[in-house]
Amino acid sequence: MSIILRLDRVMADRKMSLNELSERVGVSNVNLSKLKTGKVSAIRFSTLEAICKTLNCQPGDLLEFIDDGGKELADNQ
Amino acid sequence: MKNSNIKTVNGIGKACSVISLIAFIFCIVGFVGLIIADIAIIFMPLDKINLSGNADATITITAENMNIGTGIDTGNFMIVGDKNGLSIEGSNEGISIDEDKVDFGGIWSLDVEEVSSDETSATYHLTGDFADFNKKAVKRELLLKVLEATIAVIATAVTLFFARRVFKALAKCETPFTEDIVKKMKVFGGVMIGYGVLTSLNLTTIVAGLAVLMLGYVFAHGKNLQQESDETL
Repeated sequence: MSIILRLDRVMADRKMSLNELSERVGVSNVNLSKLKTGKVSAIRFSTLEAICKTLNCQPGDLLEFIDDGGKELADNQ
Repeated sequence: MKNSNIKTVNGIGKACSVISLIAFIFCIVGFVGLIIADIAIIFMPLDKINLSGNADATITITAENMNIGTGIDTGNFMIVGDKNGLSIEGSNEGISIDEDKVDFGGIWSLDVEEVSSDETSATYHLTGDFADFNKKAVKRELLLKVLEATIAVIATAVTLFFARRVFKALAKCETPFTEDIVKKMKVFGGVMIGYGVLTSLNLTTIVAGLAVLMLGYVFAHGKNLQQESDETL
């Protein structure tokens, strides 16, 4: 996947633990963990909004695009 | 927390599972009974087969029906008398007729007696004794019928077994869109089509089987959507 979630970096900047974020965003610990490790294929705007609000950041701070030739996207089509 | 739709699916699945289990048990009991019957028929001595009774019929051809013919309708075939004498109409496989005998493929025969015959009328008297039945042929027919029933019961039991697998999975599922249910559904659909073909091309069963098979593929698509939803946070 060429979209990388930089949740761990922002969390470290804000000095927020996974448990605290989980409580404040309302997403379970397990699911946040998946989000951190990039094991999800999509994220809802509502979830993104809640995380941005809690961490006081922009979506662009959380998401990063790395061009790997779009191989996977092409594979899915 | 299960939503109401899933709860309904679980409930109906449970009910169907119980019903199919009862039907399956009946099939097993029937199967055992038929196997015993098969063995009993195979080892039954010919002298224990005793048929009694008489067949007695009179065909009277008058001037009115001399040309169109009149006769006895047995359901499968007709013994018809007209100006040319007696003949067989309909499904007459193995049946032969001559001046003094109607022969049913060597299994049984009727004696024909020409009581009277002239230009405008004729009367034939047909008689037969059930005791004259070829006992070997009777035994063979009996065995064939019971074997046919045995195969039908096995096929029903197999179909019920695969049906129950689907019902059991649906009875306790959190979501019906899982690989397990999709696979079981497709197998059940295939088995049902096979059952329809086996039970003398029963179209209703074949169409129902195709419907289940189609639902299997619909659920396979549902499974993909479920996975997509599960991976979305």
